[in-house]
Amino acid sequence: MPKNLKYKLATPILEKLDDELQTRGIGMCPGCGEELAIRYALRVMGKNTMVFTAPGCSPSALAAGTDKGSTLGIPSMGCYMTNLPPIASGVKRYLKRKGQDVNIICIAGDGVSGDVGFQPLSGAAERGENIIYMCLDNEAYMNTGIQRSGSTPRHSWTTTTPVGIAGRGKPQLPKYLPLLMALHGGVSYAATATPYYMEDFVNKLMKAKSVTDGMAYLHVLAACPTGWRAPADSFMQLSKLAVETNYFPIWESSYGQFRFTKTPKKVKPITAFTSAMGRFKHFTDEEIESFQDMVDVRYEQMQLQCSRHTGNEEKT
Amino acid sequence: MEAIKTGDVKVGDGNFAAAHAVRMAKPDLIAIYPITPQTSLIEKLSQFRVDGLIDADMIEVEGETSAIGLTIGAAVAGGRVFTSTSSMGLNFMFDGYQMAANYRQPVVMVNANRENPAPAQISAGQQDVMTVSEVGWIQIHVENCQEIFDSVLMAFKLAEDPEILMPVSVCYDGFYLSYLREAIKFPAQETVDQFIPRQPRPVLGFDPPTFLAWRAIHDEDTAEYRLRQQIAYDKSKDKMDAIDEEFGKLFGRRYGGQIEEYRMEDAEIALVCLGSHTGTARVVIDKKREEGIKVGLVKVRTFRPFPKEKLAEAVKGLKAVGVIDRSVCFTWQGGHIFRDLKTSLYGHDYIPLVNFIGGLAGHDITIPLLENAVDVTLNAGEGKPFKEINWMALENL
Repeated sequence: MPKNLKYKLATPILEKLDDELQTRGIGMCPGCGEELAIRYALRVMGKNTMVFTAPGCSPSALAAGTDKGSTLGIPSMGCYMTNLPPIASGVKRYLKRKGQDVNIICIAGDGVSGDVGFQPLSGAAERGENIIYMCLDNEAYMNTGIQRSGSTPRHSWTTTTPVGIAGRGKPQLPKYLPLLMALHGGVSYAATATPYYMEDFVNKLMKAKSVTDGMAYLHVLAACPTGWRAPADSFMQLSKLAVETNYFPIWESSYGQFRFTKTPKKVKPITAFTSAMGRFKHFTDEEIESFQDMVDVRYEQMQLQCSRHTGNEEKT
Repeated sequence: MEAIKTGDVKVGDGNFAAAHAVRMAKPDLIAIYPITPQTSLIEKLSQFRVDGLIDADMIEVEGETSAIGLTIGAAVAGGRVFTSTSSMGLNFMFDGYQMAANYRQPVVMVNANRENPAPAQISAGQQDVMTVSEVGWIQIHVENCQEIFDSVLMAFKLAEDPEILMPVSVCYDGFYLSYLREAIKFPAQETVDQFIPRQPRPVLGFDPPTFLAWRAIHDEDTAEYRLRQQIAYDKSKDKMDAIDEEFGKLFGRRYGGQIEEYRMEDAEIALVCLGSHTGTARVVIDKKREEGIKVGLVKVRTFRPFPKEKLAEAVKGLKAVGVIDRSVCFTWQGGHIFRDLKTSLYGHDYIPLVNFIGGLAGHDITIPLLENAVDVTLNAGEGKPFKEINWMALENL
């Protein structure tokens, strides 16, 4: 029998969350979705939390502050891209040893989590370090100006995978980090989420917060209007389309038991998603087909994982 | 495991000495990762844990970058921490290594000195520690296994001093000391506790919420921070001398603090060196003294911060000084100690300095090689022309 996490159900939740821990006036791009994700993540975590970040969009603007101070009302520490989970784990371990129960949350992007910082993250996950790790995946190195990452989808334009005579976007298939993370033995809880489904997201944050015997890993699709070449007010729409086209499956894994927590009633063709952004505007029919194939394969992988689970799926 | 009592003398190698010193220092967190030649140290610590002799939170990490990361984390929260490494392990943790210094975290580390790989593989040398000597870690270099034991205790004392708060590395020559078995004298646990008491220091906490960040300190604040860091780094030199004195009172052994002088009273020339071959050098000095040559020895203990003033004072008035280096620095062909000593003596009365590079990749620094170094230094002291940089055993190149 799988173990069950003890947590309070989030519905109705949003009114009951803690005060906001961020100050106003943080330096994010207009329409940034990461800001929303972090705001709610910290409201769920509450004041008894320490935040650990590594270079990237949100950390630059949040924990490290924009000038001479942090924008957070709670302790925070800037780590390097290569040592975020171990530093957070070191703090957690020592505080636990001293009898202090503090929520430790790491917030970083896909470059830190999946590329340069993957080894320490994977090591911490295997050891079951009792930290919450939230990856805000905007599918490229957005903070340095939209460079290709391991999470950038196939054929996507970035400034280092431009479109020209000799190249048409990123040639490779991406690394599907959330599944890789969920398959680590020390990860008690893993989930994908988007702030578009806020209650689902908050539920998952609460489950993550309740984990006491391993790592909780949250993989949040952080639609990036700036880097994805879309209008500043498109974050919600892009997040919704990502789920409705099966581009970004919404699932959770509790002690290795996978299940979808949102599934579209009617799956839209991938063009509904790709046509909304400039990063895919060069797509030919063949590239659209190839992109659709990438999406289908990923979704089938997740169906396979979820097929072992006996629970019911929620419908959107 | 057999219990060790106060005053016991046990035979063990350098890693054994370091492991027992760490056990007696009672750290809160130890991060371990195997790399030759420090591996038997982490095996011993692991055995201590299962035997209930050590209460530390011990983590077998997946790489050195996490080893240093975990120690920084626990140190930031207020813990006493330890890790150990060697060679490319040290290279691999360089991100956190310099972060520990720049965040002023009292991480204590043992490095079993080893060549950097390529072209040499697993062999002795000091290239690893010398290469990372410029980033704000204090380095204590040692000569024998008892000094390893004692210096690990001193390292905790120095690192956690409220006026210092800096990472300290105890560097001992891999293979030569890590695997050399010697008699090690064990002090009483109460004496160790008295020597390294827990001291309050600023930590990451809630009241008020603190934060540590790479973008938090700008412009003139960064300059001020750096200056304070430098002042504390300099202060650690006097602190080391004071710690040595206190250690002597409590444990009955002294090492001279920053440097140790051997038969320097009436010396006309001297050798300067650090590490395991200092023992060989003592034998050579005694031998040459018997031949009537007035030669002495200066052993460098804290290579970082460099004991500039102490060394200048020690070699003042000498006719010539020979510097033995077990590493090379890519500035000019010399070694690290040679470069730093030469820099330290700028503005003082001219003394001919002769550099001898040897012992790379496990090559022995033998008695004949050091005797030759004394002879060459003696010639230089007599005003004869001399070659500034000499590669021992490669004279024809």
